[in-house]
Amino acid sequence: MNFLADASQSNLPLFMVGAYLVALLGLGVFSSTLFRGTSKDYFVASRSIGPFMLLMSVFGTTMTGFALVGSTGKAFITGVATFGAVAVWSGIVHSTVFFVIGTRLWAIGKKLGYVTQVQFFRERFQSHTLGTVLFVLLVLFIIPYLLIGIISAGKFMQGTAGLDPRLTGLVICGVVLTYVFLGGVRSAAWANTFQTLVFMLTGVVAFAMIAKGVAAKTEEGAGTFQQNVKRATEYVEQHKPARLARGIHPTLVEKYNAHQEQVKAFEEYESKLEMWNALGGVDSGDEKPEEVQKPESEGPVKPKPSMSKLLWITYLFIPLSIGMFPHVFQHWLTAKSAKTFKLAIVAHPVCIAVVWLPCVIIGTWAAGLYAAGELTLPVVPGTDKPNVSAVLGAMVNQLVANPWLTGLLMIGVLAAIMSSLDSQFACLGTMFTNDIIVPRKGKDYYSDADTVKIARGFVVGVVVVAYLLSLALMKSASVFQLGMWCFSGFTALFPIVFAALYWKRATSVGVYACIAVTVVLWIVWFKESGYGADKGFTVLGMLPMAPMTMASSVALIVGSLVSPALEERQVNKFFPNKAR
Amino acid sequence: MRYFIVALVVSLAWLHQDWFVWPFLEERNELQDYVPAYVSNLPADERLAYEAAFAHHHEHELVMGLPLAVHYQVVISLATALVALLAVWKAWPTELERWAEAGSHRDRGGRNRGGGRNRGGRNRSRGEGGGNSARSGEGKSDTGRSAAQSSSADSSDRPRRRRRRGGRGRGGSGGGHNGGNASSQPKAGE
Repeated sequence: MNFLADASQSNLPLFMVGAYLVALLGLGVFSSTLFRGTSKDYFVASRSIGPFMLLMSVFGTTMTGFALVGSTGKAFITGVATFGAVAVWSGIVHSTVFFVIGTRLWAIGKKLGYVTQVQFFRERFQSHTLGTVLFVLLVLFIIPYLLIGIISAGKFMQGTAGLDPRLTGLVICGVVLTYVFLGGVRSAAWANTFQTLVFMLTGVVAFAMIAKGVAAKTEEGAGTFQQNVKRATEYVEQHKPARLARGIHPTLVEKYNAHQEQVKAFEEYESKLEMWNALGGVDSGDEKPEEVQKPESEGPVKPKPSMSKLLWITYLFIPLSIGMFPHVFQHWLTAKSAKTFKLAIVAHPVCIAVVWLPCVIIGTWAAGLYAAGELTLPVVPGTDKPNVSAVLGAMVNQLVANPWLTGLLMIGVLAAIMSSLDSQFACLGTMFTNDIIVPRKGKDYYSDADTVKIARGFVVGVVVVAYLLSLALMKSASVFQLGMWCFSGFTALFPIVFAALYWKRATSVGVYACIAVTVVLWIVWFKESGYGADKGFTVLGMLPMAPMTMASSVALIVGSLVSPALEERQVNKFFPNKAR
Repeated sequence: MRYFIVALVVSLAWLHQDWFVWPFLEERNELQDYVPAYVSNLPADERLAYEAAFAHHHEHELVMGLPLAVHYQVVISLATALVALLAVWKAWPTELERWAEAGSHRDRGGRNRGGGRNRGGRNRSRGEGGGNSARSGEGKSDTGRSAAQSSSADSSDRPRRRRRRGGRGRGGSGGGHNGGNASSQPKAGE
């Protein structure tokens, strides 16, 4: 009996994950019963999604597995600065983009009946070819992003439960495919709402339990929640104070200055001793200089801030990418009315803080424990560096060792990953159908039911291709590096959507110039960074996406101004105050 | 109000760069008269609370178990939500909503009936129509057509309608062999 109890205890996390996936599948199947059978329902849920589901689905889509696993790993390296640089900037920028770009795209999409970005850009810039070029670029940028989800889910489950990553990939692709196939974007929105609630809860619960685990390592031991948090952070202050500030922690300055003084004193002592010896030593009659101990040869390095000011500012550019994500565009179009956006605009910064703050603090505590030798992490193969992606899993396993929490964490990470995957699958199916197939044969060629069938076929095709690619690239780290760089691409293309909505003078030539500059700079800098291997790669002290976006903006402006303006009557229909 | 909201968002972005804030607060802390007199008269616990909130002016100082910089950034997040609340309350683009909704109403409504004609009763050319050319809207999409279809569906639907209404063979302005309306417009204009 004990054996059985132990076995069920050790498999509890997997049972929990299985139950979660079944529940998700059930929700997906239920939501598919609401499917109205039209292509409009399949692509944009008949524009009927309400405020809460819009908030949850857009938020869930933007938060990938990086929000839980990556944020903890980043905080392990950079400390609490991660929260301000990534999460708070995202809150400010995302809300602004929803207000300025999202509502306007929704209005245009509703009025003119668009379901993809490419349809909008084709008509706005009166160029079919431009739309096709953008289609290719957007698909190329989104595929690595999608692969990261499948691969990181596989690796996470392998690290925490010893599951074969190929099996994990197959299962999550199968679950997501089932509900997206049946109900399209409507099912994705329902599933995202559920998954977002799950991973928000995971972060908070993990935070409370890990705080207790860290506090238990201190002299005072565990206490109330607030005492635990206080003791855990004080522990970091003792062992890794640098992680508690964006700038330079004074303790580091003190240590560095103390060492410098020791070096100086020792040098003075040496020169005095040399002179004393030269003068005859003891015979000179002078007193021998007081001996100064030789300082350690490798003292503390000159302290640097955790994150430079310029780098901190240029983190602003990362969240701009949301304006060009095709899957987010599609979710925006599902809104019932413009008013539906209000909740998303207001609550998004708070939701980001709720997810990111616990994870960043856990990563910071992990840095302190690791420095004190209280936490062991697997190393990156071929190096002696700790694998930061394993920080959250290691903290749960080594500090809490509670199968319920381990199970919840697994569910949370999978929820974060799958809530992005479903939107990306649905979006790619929609894009292939509406941007490539339907325009080729003409709008009247396919019936509405045929369009849904084609879209479903493409969803299946995209999932199969993505899964096969993930198998091929499972052991390669380059896809992660490539995926991270794809954000830069989306950000650098952001000026296109902004100009399309707010600058009537923007032309297709300007957009081509913007695309060309983005592609050239992206290739050059990606290569310079060792194809993404140099994770700290900067250009003039900035994240590469900052100069890339500035250059692409300039190219768009110059290209538009030197080319003839588009026909005003055609352009006016995209400008609410000008349209008649 | 919209300019005020823009100013608030820019201020948030500026305040988010907290390295401007810490040295400023540190300088204030060093001033002799910084701690107001009334604070000294407060009970011990309230004085401590005041000091916890205002007297630690370094980003790394721990307050309630977290560095002050983190508290500061959390406040910025909440302030962002408040500014967003103000924006959706006082600067909401209602005209945008009306514009989007009007398009779909027009499609279903009576204005659609005369859509193929100019004021003079002549048939419109394909691209003509200003606002009406943008009027594909939800009526079209409800039939399941997608965007490009739906917006180009407008222009392709119109000629069919016109043909039914006898655009062809009307006193020579119909454009002869073209069935048509597309070529009839230039002639009408001549």
